Amino acid sequence: MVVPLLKLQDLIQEIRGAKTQAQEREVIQKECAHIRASFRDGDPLQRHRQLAKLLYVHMLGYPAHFGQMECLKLIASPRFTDKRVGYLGAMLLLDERHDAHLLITNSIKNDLSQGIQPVQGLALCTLSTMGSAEMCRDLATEVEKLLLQPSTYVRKKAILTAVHMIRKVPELSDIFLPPCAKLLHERHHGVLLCTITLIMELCERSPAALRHFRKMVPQLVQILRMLVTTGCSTEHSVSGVSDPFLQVQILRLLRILGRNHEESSETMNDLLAQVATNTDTSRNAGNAVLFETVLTIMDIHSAAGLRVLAVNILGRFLLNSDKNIRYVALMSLLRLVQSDHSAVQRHRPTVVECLRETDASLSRRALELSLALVNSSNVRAMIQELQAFLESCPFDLRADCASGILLAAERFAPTKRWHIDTILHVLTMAGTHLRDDAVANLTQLIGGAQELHAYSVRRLYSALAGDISQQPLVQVAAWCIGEYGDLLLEGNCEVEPLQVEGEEVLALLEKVLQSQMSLPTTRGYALTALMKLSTRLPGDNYRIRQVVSIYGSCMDVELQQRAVEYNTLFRKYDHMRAAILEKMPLVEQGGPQVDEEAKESKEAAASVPTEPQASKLLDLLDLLDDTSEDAQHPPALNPSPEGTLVHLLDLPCAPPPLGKPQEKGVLEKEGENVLFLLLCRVRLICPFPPVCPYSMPILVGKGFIQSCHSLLAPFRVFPLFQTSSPGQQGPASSPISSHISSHFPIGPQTLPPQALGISCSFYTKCSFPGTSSDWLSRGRHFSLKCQMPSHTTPI
Amino acid sequence: MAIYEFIHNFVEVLDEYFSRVSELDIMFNLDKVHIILDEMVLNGCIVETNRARILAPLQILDKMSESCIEGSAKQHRFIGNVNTL
Repeated sequence: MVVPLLKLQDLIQEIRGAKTQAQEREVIQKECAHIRASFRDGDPLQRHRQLAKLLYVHMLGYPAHFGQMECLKLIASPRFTDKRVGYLGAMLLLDERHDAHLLITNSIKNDLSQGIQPVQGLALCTLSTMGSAEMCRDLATEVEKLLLQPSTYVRKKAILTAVHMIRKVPELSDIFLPPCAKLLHERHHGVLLCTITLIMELCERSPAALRHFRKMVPQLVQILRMLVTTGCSTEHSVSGVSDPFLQVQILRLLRILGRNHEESSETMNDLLAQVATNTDTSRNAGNAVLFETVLTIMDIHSAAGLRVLAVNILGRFLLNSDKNIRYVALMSLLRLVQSDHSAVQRHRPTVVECLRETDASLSRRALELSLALVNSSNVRAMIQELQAFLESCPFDLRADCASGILLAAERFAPTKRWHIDTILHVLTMAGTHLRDDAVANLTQLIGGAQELHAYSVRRLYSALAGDISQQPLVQVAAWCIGEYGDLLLEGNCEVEPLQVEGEEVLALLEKVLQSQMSLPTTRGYALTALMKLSTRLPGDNYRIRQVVSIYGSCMDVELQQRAVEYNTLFRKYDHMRAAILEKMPLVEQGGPQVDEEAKESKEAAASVPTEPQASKLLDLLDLLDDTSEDAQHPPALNPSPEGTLVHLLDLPCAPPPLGKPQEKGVLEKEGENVLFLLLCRVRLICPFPPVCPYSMPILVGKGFIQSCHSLLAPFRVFPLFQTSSPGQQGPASSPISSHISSHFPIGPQTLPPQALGISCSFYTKCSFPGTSSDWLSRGRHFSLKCQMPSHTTPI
Repeated sequence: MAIYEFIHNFVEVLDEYFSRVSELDIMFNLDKVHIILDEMVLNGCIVETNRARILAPLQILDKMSESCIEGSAKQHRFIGNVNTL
C-alpha cells in the first residue's frame, strides 16, 4: 500500500483544517504513524520531509522522541537539506539529558573540519545551543581554529559557540582569551557584536580576564565614539540610530569594566556624556541606548555632573507616554534614590503623577519610590498625595501604602497633632489592612501627647460614632474614650466642639461590645474602657455594672475573666476602684525588646527562665518607706494599711503607683494575642503581716514561685500570691500555698547594689468561685520584668 | 529595552523576507523561520542584526530549491555565494 507522503505544507493545512482538538489529534496520530513507518523502512530521500513534519508536530506539543535517531542519520548524510533538517531536529529534540547527543559529536567534528561554510555554520549553531560539557571539550580546538578564519559568516558563529563553551566548561576560557584582542579590530559589525559578548562572558568569569581587558577600554571608547559621531551607515542603522545593538553591547561591557575602577571610569566619562546628549530619543532605539548609558553611569565611578545628567534622563523617561519606558525609569530611580537623593527629589512631582497609573506594576513602583522620597520638608504634601492614593488604590497595595504612610509619618511628623490626624485618617480608610502594632503605636503616641488628649478623644469619638467596623480604629477609640472620658464630656475644647452626654458614650461602647463585627480583642478593649469610665463619668454606675455582670457569663473566656474580675472590683474593692483605674502613665517604648521577651516567656511555658539583664522596667514597689529614696522610686511607699495595690493590667492599662506619673508598674505586652487582665498584688512588707484580706485567688506555677522568691526575697518585695479559700483549691495548689507561706515573714535585708534584671514567667490560673474552670486548660502567662534600681539604700 | 528593539528587528526581517508577514506565513513556513532565527540568534546571544546579511543565505537556498538542484552542487554554489558576503 503506497500512501502518498504529505509535504509539510499540506500537513499544516490539514491540521489547521481540523475543527476540534480531537480531530486534530487524530490527524496528527495518523501522520505520526506514517512517519514512524517511513523511518523504519522508508525512502531515504524523503526522510527530511518526514522529520520536518515531525518537528512541526513537536512544536504543537505532541511527543516526538522517536525522531531522535533519525536526526543522527540525517546529519550524517551528505546532502545539505538533510543536514539542515537534521541539525534543526537535533537542536529541538535532543539535549543533555538524552544519551544520543554524544553521537552527534563525531558528525559535528567532521562537518566543522570540512570547510564548507554553511555546513560549518549549521554545526556551530547546533553546538552552541545544545553542546554538553564533554562535547565542548572535544571540539574546543576545532572551534578555536574557526575563530581565525577569514570568512566572517563562520567567525561570528564560532565566537558565540565559544561563549557557550566557556559557560559550560570554564577552563576553556584560557584558550579563547588571546584571539579576542585581534577580533576587536574588526570592522564587521556582526563580528564585533559577538566579540563583545565573548569578552563580557570572560570578564564575568574571571577577574584576571577583567584586568586584561581593562587595557582595551580606550579602544572600545574609540569604537563607540565612531558609531555615535559618524553618520549612520544605512545597513546598520535602526530608525536613525546607528547600530543600536552594538552600542548597547559596548555600553554593557564598559559598565562591567568600569565598575570599581577609577581609571577606566574616567576615560569613559566624556564618551558617556557625548552619547547621552547626541542620541535621538524620538524612537525606541534611541531610548534603549540612553537607558544603557544611564545604567552604566550609575554603576561606574562617574562625575557628579554625569550622575545628575543620568537622573535627568530618567526624569525625561518618566514623562514619556510609553509605559515600558516609564516602568524602566521608575525602577532605575528606585535604585538611585539612595545615593543621589537630592537629584531625584527634583522629579518628585512626576513620580507622584505616576501614582495615578492604571497599570498595577507601575503604580506599585511609583508607590515605593514616593515612599522613599518623603523627607522632612515635603512630608505634608507627600502624605496628602499618598492618602489620596490610598483611597483609590487596589487592595493588594493598600497594606503597603498604609504601613508606608505610617512609617513616614512617624519619622517626619512636624507636629503631634498632624501625626495623630494622619494616623486617624489612615485608620478610618484602611484599618483592616494595617499591621497589628499600629494600634499600640497610636495609643502610645496619644498617651504621650498630653495637650492633645482632649482633641484626640473627641476626634476618635466622632470617628467611632460614624463607623464601628474598622477594628484597629475601634480599639484605639475605645481605649482613648476609656482613658480620657472625662475630657470628652467637658465639651469646651476650642478645636472640636462636641457636646457629648455620658449616656451616649456608654451606649456607643455597648454597641461595640455587642456588634458582630468586633473581634474578641476589641471587645476586651471596650469592656476595659467601660470599667474605666465608671470612675471618670459622674453619676451612677448602674448601667456599667449591669453590662459588666452580663459578660460575666460570656462564652469567650477572655471576656468572661475580665468581666468577672471587674465585677469583683465593683463589689468588694470599690474603695480601690479609683486607684486602680487611674490614668495610665506614659508607657515606655519597649518596642522589639518587649516583643522578644514576651516571646521568650511564651516559650518557657513550664520552666521558669530567670534571665538577667532584662532591661524592661518594672519597679516592684520598693518598700523603703522613707523619702530618702531616689526619684525613680515611687514615693508612694507610704504603707497604707491595706497595702499598696498594684494592678498590673494588660496593655494598654498599667496603673501607676498612687498618683505619680512616672514609669512605674508598667507591664508591656505584645498587642494582639496577650490581652488579658491579670490582677497581681504586690504588697509592701513589714511591718504588715502577710495576711491579706483579699480573697481573689491567683494560683501560680510552682517553679516560678521558688525562683521568684529566692530572687525577690532579698529585696523585701515579693508578689503576694493568694490562694483561694480552702475548700476550693485544686490539687495543684496546696504545695504552692505552703511554699508561699514559708517565705512570708521576711526581715529587713539589704538590697543588692546593682540592678538585677529578672524575667519570670508563670502560669496563672484564675479560679473564681462560681465558674467552673479547668485548672490546666486555661493557662495564662505573662512576663514580669523586674529591675531593681541600683541606688537603693539599705535599710 | 534592547531586547525590545531586537524583537522589532526580527519582525522586520521576517517582514522583508515574506513581504508583509502574518501569522499564517510563520506557521506555514516554519522551517524557513527557524533558519532566519538561527542566523540572528545563537543560544541567546545576538549574532547578526543586518538584514541584508541575514537574508542572503536564505535567498540563495530559495533559488536553489527552485531550480531543483540538490546534492553537492548546491553546496559548492552556496560556498561561492557566501564568500562574497
